[in-house]
Amino acid sequence: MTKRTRYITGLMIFLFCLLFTRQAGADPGYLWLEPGPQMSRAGGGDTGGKSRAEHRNSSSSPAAASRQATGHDVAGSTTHAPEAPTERKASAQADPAKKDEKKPPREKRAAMSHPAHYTLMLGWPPGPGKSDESLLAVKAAIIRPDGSTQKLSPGLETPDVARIRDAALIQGRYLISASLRQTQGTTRYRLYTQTVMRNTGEKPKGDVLPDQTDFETDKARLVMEDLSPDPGKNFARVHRKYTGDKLPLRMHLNELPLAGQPVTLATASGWRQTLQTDEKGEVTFALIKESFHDEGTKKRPVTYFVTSEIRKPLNSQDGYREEVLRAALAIMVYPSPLDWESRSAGIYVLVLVMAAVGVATAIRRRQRRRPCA
Amino acid sequence: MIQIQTDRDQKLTRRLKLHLAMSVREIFDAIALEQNRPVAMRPFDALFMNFAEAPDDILPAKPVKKVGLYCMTVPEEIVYAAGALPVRLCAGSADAAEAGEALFPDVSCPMVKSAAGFTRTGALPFYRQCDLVVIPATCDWKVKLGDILSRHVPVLMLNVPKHKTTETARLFWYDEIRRLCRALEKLTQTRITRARLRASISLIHAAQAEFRRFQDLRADDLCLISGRDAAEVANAWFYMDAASWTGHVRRLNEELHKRKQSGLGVIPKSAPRVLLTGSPVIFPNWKIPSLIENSGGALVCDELCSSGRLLWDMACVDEPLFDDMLDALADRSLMPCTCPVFTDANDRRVKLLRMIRDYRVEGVVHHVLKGCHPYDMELRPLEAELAAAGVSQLKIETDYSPEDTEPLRTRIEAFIETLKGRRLKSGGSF
Amino acid sequence: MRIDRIRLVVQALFFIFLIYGGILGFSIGNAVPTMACIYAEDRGGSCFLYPFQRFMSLPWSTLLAATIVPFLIYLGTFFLWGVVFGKAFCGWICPLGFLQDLLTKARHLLGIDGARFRWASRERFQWVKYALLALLILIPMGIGSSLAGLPKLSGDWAVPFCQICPGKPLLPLFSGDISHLIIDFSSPVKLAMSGLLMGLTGLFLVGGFVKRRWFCLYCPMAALLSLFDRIGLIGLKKKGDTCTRCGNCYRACPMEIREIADIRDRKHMVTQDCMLCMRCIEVCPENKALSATFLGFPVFTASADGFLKRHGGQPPLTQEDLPHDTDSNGS
Repeated sequence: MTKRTRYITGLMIFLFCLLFTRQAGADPGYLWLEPGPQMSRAGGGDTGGKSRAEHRNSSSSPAAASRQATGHDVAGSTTHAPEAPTERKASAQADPAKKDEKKPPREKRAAMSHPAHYTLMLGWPPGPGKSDESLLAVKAAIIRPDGSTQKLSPGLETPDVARIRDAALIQGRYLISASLRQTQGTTRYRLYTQTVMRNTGEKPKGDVLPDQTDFETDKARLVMEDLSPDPGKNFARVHRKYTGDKLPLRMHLNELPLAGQPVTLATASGWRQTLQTDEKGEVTFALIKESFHDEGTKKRPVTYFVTSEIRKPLNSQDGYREEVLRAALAIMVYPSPLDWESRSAGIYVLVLVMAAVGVATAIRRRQRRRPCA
Repeated sequence: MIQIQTDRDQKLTRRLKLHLAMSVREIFDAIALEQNRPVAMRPFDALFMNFAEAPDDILPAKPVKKVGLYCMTVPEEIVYAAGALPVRLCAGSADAAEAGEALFPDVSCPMVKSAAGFTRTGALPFYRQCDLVVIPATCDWKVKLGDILSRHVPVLMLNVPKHKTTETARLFWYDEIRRLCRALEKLTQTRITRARLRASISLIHAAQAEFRRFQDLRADDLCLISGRDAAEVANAWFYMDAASWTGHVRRLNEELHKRKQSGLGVIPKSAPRVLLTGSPVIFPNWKIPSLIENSGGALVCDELCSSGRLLWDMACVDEPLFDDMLDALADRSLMPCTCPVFTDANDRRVKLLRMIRDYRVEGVVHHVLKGCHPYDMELRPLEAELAAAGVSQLKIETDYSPEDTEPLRTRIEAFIETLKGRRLKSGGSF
Repeated sequence: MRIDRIRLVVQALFFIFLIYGGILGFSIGNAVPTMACIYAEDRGGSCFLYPFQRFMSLPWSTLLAATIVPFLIYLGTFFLWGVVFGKAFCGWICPLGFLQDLLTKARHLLGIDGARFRWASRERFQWVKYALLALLILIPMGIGSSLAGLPKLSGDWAVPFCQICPGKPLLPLFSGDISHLIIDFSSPVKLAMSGLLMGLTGLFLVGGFVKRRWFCLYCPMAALLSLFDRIGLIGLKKKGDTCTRCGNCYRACPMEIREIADIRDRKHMVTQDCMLCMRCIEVCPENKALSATFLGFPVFTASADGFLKRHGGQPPLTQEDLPHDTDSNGS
C-alpha cells in the first residue's frame, strides 16, 4: 500500500470520526485507561519526598485540572513531579534514577513499587474523555506477573470518576484490560482497551509469565496488545516511554492476528498517523511526531492515543444491524532530547554557514588575486 | 628601437670598444703578475677577458630569451622559471659612462651612465640583445633610466615600494611580482608553474649555498682570497648561467678549503681587515678593492649590492603552493634588501655590525659613487652610529674614472696605517 | 624531515590519545589545558575549561569552603601543565589545532591558495579571546551567585564556552557521536547558544580550510596559556642582531605573528598567539637568529645549513666550513 493511500485512509477515518461525532452524539467513542494519580500507600508508601507528596496534593484533581492547564496533556504529569530542565540529554533520562540514589535510603520495595491505578475514560481520543458512573459497568481484569488473574470492579472516586485499582505488589509485567458493551439504536458497540504496566518491587515467587486468560466472554474480542520489550533492570524506563521510542503493537481479533487493519496514533494536539497491520497483525509506531513541535520543549509528558476500529454489519435476531469493535490504548510519553534538539536544523545551519562563508571568501579572494594588467 | 647609426655614433662605439678592451687588458695584465692566486679563478678570468676579446661570447650561447635586470630586487628565480636567462646589466665601465654622459646631468650616477652608454652604443652586444629589460624603480636614476633605454630595448619597469615595512607595500610588491611573472610568461610563451618555480628556487639555493660557503671561507682568519677576486666571483654571477656559476664557485671553494687546511693565504695576516660598503663595485671598476689591497689592507667582506648582498638572502617556500612561492620570492627580494633607497636604514646598520663582528673587521670603507645620493644621504647617520660602536671608517667619494686613483691611494694608505696603529695599540700582533 | 611533518605526527598521536585513550583506560586528568573535548566519550584526558566553568558556577560559599581543596588541586595541575609545556599544547597537542592543520594539509593537496589576515583585521580581533575568557568566568559566576545585584542566571547558561566551542560538535564525531550537531529549541538561551555553535562550527571548518589556524586567534585557552609565556620551561629566543628581517618567519608562521620578523630588540618571542610550532626556526636562514630553548638550553636553532638541507640545497663539505659566529679568536 502506498503512502498516499495510507494518508487518504487516515484522513477518511478522521473525517468519518468527525462526522460520526457530530451526527450520532450517542456514539460512546473509545474506552481507554488513563494512568491515574498514584495511590498513596499507607504505611510504606512514598514517605521520603515531602516535596513530591505536597506537589501531588496541590494538583490533586488530576485529570481535569491538568487537562485544563496543559491543553490535553494528560494526567501523567502529576504522577511525576515536573523536574527542572536539565541540560544534558543523558541526564534527562537518567535523572529519576539518579534522584532516587541521592535521596536518603528508604524501604526499597515501597519506593520502587507502583500501584496500578487507572481512570476509565470514554470519548474520542485524542479529545478529552469523560469518566462518570456510567463507566462502572466496565468489566476490568488484571493479570499479574505471578499468573494470578483478578477481576477489578471500577469504583467511583471523589471528583466523580471511575477508577480501577490494584496494589500490584510484585515485580514484573501486569496486563490490565477493560471492556465495555453498549448499544445505541441498532448498533452494538464493543469497546476494548488493554494496557501493560511494569512494576518493580518484590520478585514474584515463580517467574511465570501467564498466558492471556480469557476472562471475558465476548466472542468478538478485539485486542490491541502492547509488545514493547521488557526494559529489564533499567528502572528509569520501567514506567516510561520517551519520545523517539518505538511502540510495537499487535492486533488480534478473536485470538487471530488481524491483518490490514488501520491503526491510528494521535496526540492531543491533533497530530495523527495511521498505519496498517502486517499479515502477523503487527504494527510499529515511532513515538515522535513528524514535524518539529513545541510541546516537547515544555519538557512535560504527553499522552499518545492509539485507536483502531472494526465495523461490520450484523444480522442478529436481536435486531442489531451493525457491530462496532473498538480498541484503544493511551500511552504516556516523556520528553527526550529529540523533542527539543533538531539535528536537521543544526546540520542545515552548519552547511548554510559553510556555504555562505565559503562563497564569500572565494569571491573576496578572487578580487584580491585578480590579474594585474 | 629605431636606431640611426650616424658616423659619430659608430665612431663612439668603436672608441668605446677599444677603450674597454684596453682597461680589461690592463686589469688582467696586473692580475697575471700576481702569484699564489687560486687556479679555480680561471673560468671567471676567461669570462671577463671576453669583454676585451670576444664580447659576443660573454653570455652562454643558449637559444633562450635573455632578460636584462637591474638592481637585486628582481627575483632571478622567476626569470629562470620562465625559461629565460637573467643577465644583470649594471655596468662599471668608465668608458661607457663617458659614452652615456650626454644623456644625463653632470652629477649623476656613473653606473647608470655606463649602462646607458653600453645600450646606446651597443659596444657590448648583449645590452641590445636582451628581449626584455626589467628595471625596478629603486633610485631616481633607475626611474629615469627606463625611459632612456626604452628607445633601444623593450623595458619593463617595476614599481618598488620605498617604505617597505607597511602592509600595503608588501601587497603592492606581490602584485608587481605577479605582473613581472605575466610579462615573462608572455615573453617566453612558457607558463610558470609550481614545479618550474620550485626547480628554479633550488637552482638559486644551490648557488646561494656555495656563495654562503664562499663568504664563510672569506671570514677565516687566513685571507684565502683577495677582495678583488671575491668581487670578480660575484660579478661573474651577472653574466653566467646559475648552474655553471655554481659549479665554478664550488671548485673554487674546494680549492680555498684545501688552502685553508694547508694554511696558504693570499694576504698576510698582518693586513688589517677591511669591510667595503656602499655603492656597487662592478667590473671593470675594481679600483677600490685593488687600492685597498695594494695599500696593505685585506678586504675580507663587503656589503655591496654587486657582491656581498647579492646571493645572501634565501627564499623560503613555506607552503607548497604557487602563490605562496611567489610571495616568498617577492619577500626575499624586497624585505631584507639593505639598499638605501628604502626608508629604514636600521637593517643596514644591524647587518654591518653583524658583519663587523663575524668577519672581525677593523675598518670600514664607505664607497660612494658621485651622484649616488641614497648612499650619500644614509652615510651621515650611519657613520655616527658605527663610530659609536667603535669602528674606524673611511668615506671615499669617487666615480668610475681612474683619474682620482692617486689621491685615493694616499687616503686609503693612510687609513690602513691608522688601522695598523690601532691594532698595535690594542696589543694585537702581526 | 620538516618540522611540520614531525609536528603532524605528534599531533596525530596526541589526537588518538586524547580522543580514544579512554578505550584503553588511559586518562591524563581533566585539567589538561588543551581542547580535548569533554563530550568525546572515549577521551583520554579532557579540557581544563569544562570543570573550570563548573567550579566557577558554584556559589562562593561552596567554592571557598567545601570544594576549595579539589579546586586548588585542579588549578595546581593546570599550572604544572602550563609551566612545563605552555604553548606547546597549542601547537603539538591540541586536537582542534590538529583538525585545522589537517584542513590546511587538505588545502595544500588540493592546491588551493590560502588566505592571510590583513594586519589591521588581525589586530582588530585580538581582544576576542580575552573577552571570551572573561565571559567564561563571569557567566558561570552569575549562575552560582548573583553578580552586582543582578538576578542569577538560569541553568541554561551553564558551561557557556563549551556551548559555543566548535570542539563540542566536532570532536565527538570521531567516536561516532553525532548527537552534538543539533540546534536546541528548549529555551531562548539554548537556542541562541546552539545556533551560534553551529555557525561557529561552520566558520571553523571553512575558515580553517582557507586560513591556517584561523580559530586559534580567538581561543581563550591561548589567552590562559599566555600566563606561562615568560615563566614556561619552553622558550623561543631571538637574536636580533643576526636577523635580516627577510620575513620568512612571518610568512611561515601559522598564526601570522608579525613580531617574530619585525622586532629586533626583544629576546623572548613567545607572544600571546605563539603556539611553539617552531616553524619560524625551521625557515630562518640566519645562523642562530632564532632558537627554541628548554630550561634555557637551546634545543633547536636556526642555521643556514639546516635551512638549505631542508630545502634540498647543497650542504657544506665539512664541518669546519661552518661559519664563525663569535669573535672568540679575534685579533
